[in-house]
Amino acid sequence: MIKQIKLSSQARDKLIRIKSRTGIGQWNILCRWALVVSMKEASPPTVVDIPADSNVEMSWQVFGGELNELYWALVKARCYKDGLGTDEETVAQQFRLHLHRGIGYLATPSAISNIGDLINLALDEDK
Amino acid sequence: MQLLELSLYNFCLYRGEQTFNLSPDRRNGKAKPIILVGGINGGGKTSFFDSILLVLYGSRANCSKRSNQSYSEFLTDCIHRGVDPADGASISLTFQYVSEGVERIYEVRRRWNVKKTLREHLEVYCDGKKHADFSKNWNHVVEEIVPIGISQLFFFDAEKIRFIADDESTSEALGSAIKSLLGLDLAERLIADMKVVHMKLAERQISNSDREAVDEWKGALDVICSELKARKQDCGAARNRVDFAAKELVKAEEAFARIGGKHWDERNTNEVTKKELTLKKTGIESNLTGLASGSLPLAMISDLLKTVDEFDKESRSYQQLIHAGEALDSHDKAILSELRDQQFSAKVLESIELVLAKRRQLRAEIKEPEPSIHLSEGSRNSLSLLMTKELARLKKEGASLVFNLEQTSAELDLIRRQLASTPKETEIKDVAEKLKAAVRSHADAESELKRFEQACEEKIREREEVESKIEEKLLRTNAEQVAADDAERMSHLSERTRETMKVFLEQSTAAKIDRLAANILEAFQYLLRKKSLVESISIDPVDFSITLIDSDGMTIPKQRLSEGEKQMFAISVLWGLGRASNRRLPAIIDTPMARLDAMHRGNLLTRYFPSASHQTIILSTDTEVDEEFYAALEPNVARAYHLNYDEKTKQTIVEQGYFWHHEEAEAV
Repeated sequence: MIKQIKLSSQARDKLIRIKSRTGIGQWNILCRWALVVSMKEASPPTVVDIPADSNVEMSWQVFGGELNELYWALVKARCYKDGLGTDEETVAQQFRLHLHRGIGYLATPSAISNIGDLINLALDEDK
Repeated sequence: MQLLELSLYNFCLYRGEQTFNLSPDRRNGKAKPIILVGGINGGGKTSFFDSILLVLYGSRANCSKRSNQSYSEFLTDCIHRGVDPADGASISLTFQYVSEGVERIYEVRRRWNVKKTLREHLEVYCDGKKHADFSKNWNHVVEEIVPIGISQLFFFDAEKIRFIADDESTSEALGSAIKSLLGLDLAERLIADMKVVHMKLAERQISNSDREAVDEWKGALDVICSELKARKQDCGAARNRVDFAAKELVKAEEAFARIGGKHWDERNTNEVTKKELTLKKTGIESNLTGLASGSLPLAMISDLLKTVDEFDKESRSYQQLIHAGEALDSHDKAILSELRDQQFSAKVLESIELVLAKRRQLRAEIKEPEPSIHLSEGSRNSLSLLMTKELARLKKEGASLVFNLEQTSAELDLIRRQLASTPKETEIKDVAEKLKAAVRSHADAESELKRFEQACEEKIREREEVESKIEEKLLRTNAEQVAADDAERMSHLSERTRETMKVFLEQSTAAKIDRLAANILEAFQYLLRKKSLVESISIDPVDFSITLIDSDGMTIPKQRLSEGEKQMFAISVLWGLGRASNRRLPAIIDTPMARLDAMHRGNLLTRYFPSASHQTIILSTDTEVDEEFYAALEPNVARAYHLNYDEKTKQTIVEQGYFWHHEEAEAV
C-alpha cells in the first residue's frame, strides 16, 4: 500500500471546479468518487506521466478512510482483470492513473452540474 | 306592396336618367322574387338603397350617407358632381299597393335643384293621375303603406342590423317596431284614448271646488313630470358615465395584467415560498453531501467488489493449507524419531522417510494464488455488509433524495421566474394606482346611477299618487253627480271598453309574441349551421327582449354568439317579424354577407333570399355573391343589374346582368 497521494496541479484545478459544483468540500471524498468512476469504465487507463506538482496531498488512510484496505484490494483486482501485474508498484501506478482519469471525467461540465448529478452516477444502474 | 320601377336622375353617382325594373318575375309557375344588384365598393349600391328611403320619407329618411348633414346640405350633395346644380336631381319610385281592396299603381317623384337656394318638390301619381291630396299629405299616406318605423325591418343594411343581437339595445327600437308590426300599438292607443275620454267626461261634471283641487293637482303633476324628465336625463348621463368607467376599468385591468400585476400581487408570498424552498433545497443538498461521503460510490463497481471477495476467499484457503502443511511437517518428524527409537531396521526407516518426503514435496508445490488479496477481519466484514445490504440501502436513499432535489429545484425555478417577471415598484405603481382609481370611479358611477334611478322611481311613485288622486276625485264626483246622466253611460262604456281592450291587448300580445318567437326560432334553426345551438326562444311581452335558450334550458348570452351567428340571428329576427306581421312588403338587403363564412352564406343564399319576401332586392359585391353563389341563386333571380362604376368619368352606368352574366341576362 502506498503511503502518500499527491495530485497533479491540473487535477487540483479540476477538483476545485467539482467542489464548487457539488458543494463537497473534502478532497478525499471527491478522489474516492473519481477513482470509482474511472474503474467503472471497461477500458484500462492510458499510461501517461502524471506530475505530482500540486500542494494537494493526503495519506492513504485519509484517502480511503475506514475502507482504505478495501480500496487497495479493489485496485489490485482491477489490475488483475486488466492482465497487469499485482505487485505494489503496478497497483500504485494504476491507482494514480485511474484517479486522475476519474477527476477528468467528473470535471466535464456536461457530466456533473450539481450534487444530484454526482449521486445519480451511483444510481444509474438501477434506473 | 310591390316595387315596380326606380328611376334615378343625376342622383349621386348616377348621371342622367338610369332606370331599374324592380318587378319580380314568375316563370313556369315558379316565383322568381329576387332582384340582384351587383357593384363594387363605392359603386353606388348604398346610393341606390338611400334613394328608395329618400323618395319615400324625405327629410325623415335615415340615409346612411347623410350622417350629420342638414337635410338641404344632404340633398345638395346628392346631386351628381358633374352637372349644374340648377338642373338638379330626382328620384322616382313606382309601386303597386292594395288599399281598401283596390290595387293601385303609385308613383312618387321627388326632385330638387339649387338655384340660389335649394327647392324640393314632391309629386304623387295614383294610377297615372296626379293626386294633389296625396302629394300634400304624403308623409301620412306613406305611414299607412310602409310606416317608417317598420321600414328598417324590411329595408336594411345587414352590416348594421346586428344591434338586434346585442342585449342592451334590443329593447326600444325593436320593441316599438314589434308593436306596430303586430298591430299592438293600435290597441294601446285605443286604451289611452279611452282613458282621455273618460277623464274629459268626468271633468265636465265636477263642482267648482273640486275643479280647483283637480287643477291644483294637475299643476303639481306638471311639476313632478318635469322633475321626472330631469331625473331621467340624469340617469341617462349617469349610465353613460358608468359605461365609460366600465370601459376604463377593463383597460386598467388589462394594463395591470400586461405589466405582470398578478406576480406583483403575489410577490410577498412568492418571496416567502422562495425562502422556504431554498432552505429545503439546502437541507436536501447537505443530506446528499453526507451520502456522497460514505460508501455509495462503490455501488458503481459492484462486479469488482465481487472479484475482491472471491480472491480474498481463495487467499484464505491457501493460508489454511500452509498452516496445515506446517503441522504435518512436524508430525512427520515426530513419527520418524519415534520409529528410530523403537529400533526398526534401517531399510524400513528409509522407505518410510522416502514416502514422507514425497508427500512434503507435493505440499510444497501448492502455489499462492494470484493476486494475493488478504483482507483483515474488519474489512472483510465491511465488504460482506456492503454487498448484502448496505449498497442497496444507500442507493434507495440516494434515489429518493435526488428526486426530492429535482422537484424542489423545479419549484424554486418557477418561483424565481415569477419573481423575475415581477415588475419593479416604480414600474407598477402608476398602473396599480390607475387600476385602483378605475375601480373606485366605476363603483362611484354605479352608486350615482343607483341614486338617480331611485330618484326616478320616487318621482314615478309621486306621479302615480297624484294621478290616482285626480282620477279618484273625478270618478267619485262623477259617480255621485251624474248618475242619471247620459255621460254616465258613456263613461261606463268607455271604462268597460278600456278594461276589455286591456285584456285583449294582453292576450293578443301573448299570442302574437308566441307566434313571433316560434317564427324567429324556426328561421334561426333553418339558417344556422349548429342546429342544436338554440332549443327555444322567448320574448318578454313587456320589454320585448329576446332570450335564447339551449337544450338544457339555460339562457345563452348573446355575446357567446359569433359575429356570423349574431348576423344570422338578426336576420332571423327580421324574417320572423316580417312573416308574423302578415304585411306584404318588399325586402331590400344591403351588403348581406360580408361577415359570413361559406356555410352561412350558402344557407342565406339557398334558404333565406328566395323566401324572404315576395320581392327581395339584394345589393351585393362580387365577393359576397360570387360566381358559385350566383349559380345557386340564379333560379330565383328575376333580373340582375350591374352597377358599372367608371373611374374616369366618376359615374355609374347601370347595366343589365350580374358581374359575369351580361349577355345571358340581356338575352332574357
